[in-house]
Amino acid sequence: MLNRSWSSRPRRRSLVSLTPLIDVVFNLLLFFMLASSFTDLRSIRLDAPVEAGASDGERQGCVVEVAGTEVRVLGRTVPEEELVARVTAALVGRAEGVILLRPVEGASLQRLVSILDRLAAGGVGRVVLHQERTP
Amino acid sequence: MKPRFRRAPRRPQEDDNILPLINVVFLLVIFFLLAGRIGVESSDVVPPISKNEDLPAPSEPTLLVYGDGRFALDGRFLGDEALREALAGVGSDGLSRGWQIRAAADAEADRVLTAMTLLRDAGIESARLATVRTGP
Repeated sequence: MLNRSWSSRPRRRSLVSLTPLIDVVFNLLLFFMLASSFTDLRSIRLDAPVEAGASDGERQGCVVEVAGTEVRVLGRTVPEEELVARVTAALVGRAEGVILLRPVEGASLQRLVSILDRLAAGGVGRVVLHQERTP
Repeated sequence: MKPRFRRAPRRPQEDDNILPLINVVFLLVIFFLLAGRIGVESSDVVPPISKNEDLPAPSEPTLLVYGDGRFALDGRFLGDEALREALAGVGSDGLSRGWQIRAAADAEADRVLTAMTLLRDAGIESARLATVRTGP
């Protein structure tokens, strides 16, 4: 048998001893296990926010305020499910279809991104971040 | 009582026993090499969850915004004014190719907007906000 003849052949002394090789491989394994991350990162491209009152954008755009628990379109609280419909309606008749998205009352970033997602999914206009002028 | 084997017991060869182990370990190394991503990851800053699909651009300078509203750049915590100074001139010398903001999901959105305003003041008009597909 081929196998047997191979295994019974006197073994050649290997050039590299196995133990240091395993050490190195284990070290590599540890390094990659600790250093690599599996977070599925994505990113949203955002333009710098315009400051409230800095331009006449407010008159042209539809201001959407994002608070901690509610969303307001042009100052009126709307249910989140109707957000896209309300914004679309509010944009009718405006020269530029700009949505000015403004976080208020300490709304979290997650909240803002959720609303951004919702608006992006609805495919309404251009969303511009809007920040109240800091005193 | 000795178990009966069809073959004669082989000469103990520690190399033979260890080879499958090395195979497995090599496979693990290759798996982590291919599947993982090496880079500066701050576990303190968990980006917001988003459904958007855009992949992040590689090797962009990253501005961190922590949950408590602190900014960090190059591993240093910076206040608003210190960050403004650190960013001064960044946009004018050709380094304004693109910045990434990695902000904690529970940070105030207003702080992120402040960070973007500071970037704009330094000549960087737009930045990428890091998000994740799924929660931690």
